[in-house]
Amino acid sequence: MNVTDPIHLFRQSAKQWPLRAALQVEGRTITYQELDAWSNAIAHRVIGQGHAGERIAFVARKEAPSYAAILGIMKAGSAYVPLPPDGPATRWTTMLQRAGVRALVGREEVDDLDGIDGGEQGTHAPPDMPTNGEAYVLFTSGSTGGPKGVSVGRANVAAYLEHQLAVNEFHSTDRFSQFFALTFDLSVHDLFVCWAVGGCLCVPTPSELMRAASYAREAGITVWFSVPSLVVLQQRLRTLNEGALPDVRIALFCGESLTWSVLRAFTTAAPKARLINLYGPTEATIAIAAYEADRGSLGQEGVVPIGRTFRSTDGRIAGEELELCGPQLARGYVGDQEATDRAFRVEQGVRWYRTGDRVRMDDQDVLHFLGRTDDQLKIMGHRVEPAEVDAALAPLLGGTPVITLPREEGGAVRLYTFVQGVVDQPALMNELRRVLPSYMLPERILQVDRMPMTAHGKLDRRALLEQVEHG
Amino acid sequence: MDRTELAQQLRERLIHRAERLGLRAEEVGGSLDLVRSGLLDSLGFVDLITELEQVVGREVDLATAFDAPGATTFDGVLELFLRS
Repeated sequence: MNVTDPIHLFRQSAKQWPLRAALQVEGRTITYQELDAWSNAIAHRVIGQGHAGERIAFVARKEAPSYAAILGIMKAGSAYVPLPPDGPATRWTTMLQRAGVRALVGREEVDDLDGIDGGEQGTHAPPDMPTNGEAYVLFTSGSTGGPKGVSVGRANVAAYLEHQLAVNEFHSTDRFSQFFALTFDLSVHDLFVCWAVGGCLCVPTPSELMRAASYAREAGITVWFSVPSLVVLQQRLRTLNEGALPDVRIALFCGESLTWSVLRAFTTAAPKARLINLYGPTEATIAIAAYEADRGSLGQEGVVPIGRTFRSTDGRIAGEELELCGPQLARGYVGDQEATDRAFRVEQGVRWYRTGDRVRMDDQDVLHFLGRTDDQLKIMGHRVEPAEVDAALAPLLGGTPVITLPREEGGAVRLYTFVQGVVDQPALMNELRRVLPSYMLPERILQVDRMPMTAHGKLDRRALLEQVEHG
Repeated sequence: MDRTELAQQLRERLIHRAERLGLRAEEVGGSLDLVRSGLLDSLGFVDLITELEQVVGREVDLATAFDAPGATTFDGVLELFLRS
């Protein structure tokens, strides 16, 4: 299939299966015809108010208007900028400023356009927009302070979809999970793979998401896509029982390292499922490598490989760092040309992205993830730069040394912040709560007399982390 | 174990972390959402429930632990144990 644009794929499905369910959310089923008309109306409103081709934000609650807004914004030739529903507000401000957003799509306005029938802002499709425009800007944690926005083009998304639709047999009868937050690029897979094949996108409520396995069973999910942590959560909830997910036929995982033990647990619950581990940074659009585990290899321990890069992509290993090129490479970081130039480099006319991920390739040309070249880590699938925590504290600390370090505890990664000298810990934590999302908050802020150093004159991280155990 | 004792057990497990987060001791209770406030992540929340199960000496229906309105609040946790 030659995929030119994600919106074209949605429109094709809407034309082919107008009365089929496109979306199930908040107890409501919305057909392709209804979602098409609703998003057309939003697109006309965006165009009519002079915002076509601009970046447009919305608060990314997992509610029906958000899905219509994404389609409507893209139909208007604009790029969507999803704001995390839990804020914090200061982070929204940074995101809006960095992305240069001038317009927001509000929930009430979108609600007003639901079910609109004909007229000036009618249900007819707006004109086709250029397929080389921007699709979305998603923000990830930035090491130099504040979130950084990755600009991804419609052609990037089209290249990703082309690969997924070619290698996986998704059907119009499939029911797709929508577990990822709309601020995650993995949600773009959820929406547009589903809508490309005429499937039904099943959106759990926040409480249903917590018990995703029982939700998937109730909703008849056939395509499961989640971070491995969600599977671990289901294990701890004691819901990942034998045969608990009888309908799942394709299971995809991405966003953090997948272990064989987690995969084994999932397979017990979903005995019919193909098991696919995806890998890819936001800068390479959703995912760019895949490894399909066969059931004969499930007895292994350790981490599941990340597989081979997609056909349209080239990968090379420089030192141990994976570098990527191809049509899925994002445009860069909004408002930060310096960071863009550092991460995306042109060599002999070819643009390469330095992932910062350390990998090795085995004799079967399969890539294995080894870790990071820097301090970036994943917490429940969220990309976190510990230095962003330090940067958030810097204004309160003056020049006082501070460092935030990760520590693995009971299968989860937690952050600890160490500050030299006597500080007002509650005041510092209050500041962090004001500017950072909850998953980036350190477990504790600890005071140290002075930062311990190794014999080589480097910060002794191990000595710092030992202080966590000693209180 | 009655509601007061259970609340005491729960508060003991949260109080230090709450203080480190800048919350006052008297704020730990009632409608405080343990997950949304950043006190616990979802895995931490489930770990807390399983820890309380051991203290109370019986299991609760974890599969539905998140379903009730306000399930992840302080009072929601108490209700989960008191109704099981």
